[in-house]
Amino acid sequence: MEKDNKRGAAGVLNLTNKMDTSIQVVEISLLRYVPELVAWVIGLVLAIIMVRQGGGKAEKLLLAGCSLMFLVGIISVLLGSMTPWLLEQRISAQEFGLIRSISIIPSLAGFICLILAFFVRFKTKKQEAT
Amino acid sequence: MMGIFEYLMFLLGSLPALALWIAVIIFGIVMLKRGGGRAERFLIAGGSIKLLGNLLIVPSFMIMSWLLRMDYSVEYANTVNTGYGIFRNIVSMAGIICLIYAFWVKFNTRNTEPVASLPNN
Repeated sequence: MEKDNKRGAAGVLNLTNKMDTSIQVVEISLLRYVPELVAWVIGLVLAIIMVRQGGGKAEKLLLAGCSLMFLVGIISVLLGSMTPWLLEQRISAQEFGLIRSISIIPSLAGFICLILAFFVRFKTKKQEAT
Repeated sequence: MMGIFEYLMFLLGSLPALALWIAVIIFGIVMLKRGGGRAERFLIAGGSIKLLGNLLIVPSFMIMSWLLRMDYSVEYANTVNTGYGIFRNIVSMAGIICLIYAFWVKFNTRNTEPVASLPNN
């Protein structure tokens, strides 16, 4: 009986250690999102400055694009930190993939905003030059 | 472990981004050939770096599965993958900064030359 209890306690300790390790692994893997988030924050700040200095449609689109891409970064961090919990829920790989694909819509919208911003700005400049 | 199907799905998933950055590079080259300057060069540089950043995603999955096949622990494989991910994101960050700087240069050029297109009275 005492032996079983000891074995059970050791099992719980082992499981706790494994969970701690997985949490540490997730915390370390979240670091990978930092550089891109920093870049989008820089973009966001510059876009705000440009809009406040009398920026037009292009600058507003850039601001929207940077905001959406920053949002995608935040969603990625949140999903990354939720991964152990999601795995504990024993969801299927398809469900996991579906949850991870939440960020596709804002990402696509952000891309479109950025491309339009560049197109408008560079085309406007060309028209001004001619 | 990732199978060939997952690899193909992943490649298909990253195709729109790859196509988009290729389009940005082509647009930048066309603008540069039509008399573009510093902004267009930064646009091409930013697009190329972002394209490289997107291409670097594929080896990250290969590294992970290769390390696991070589009997390394999941923690070690994850740490290596995270290091690679940080490197890839730094490359991506450089691309974003180039693109934002190109936009900034274009914005400032527009603000400093507003009278260039106006007729003289």
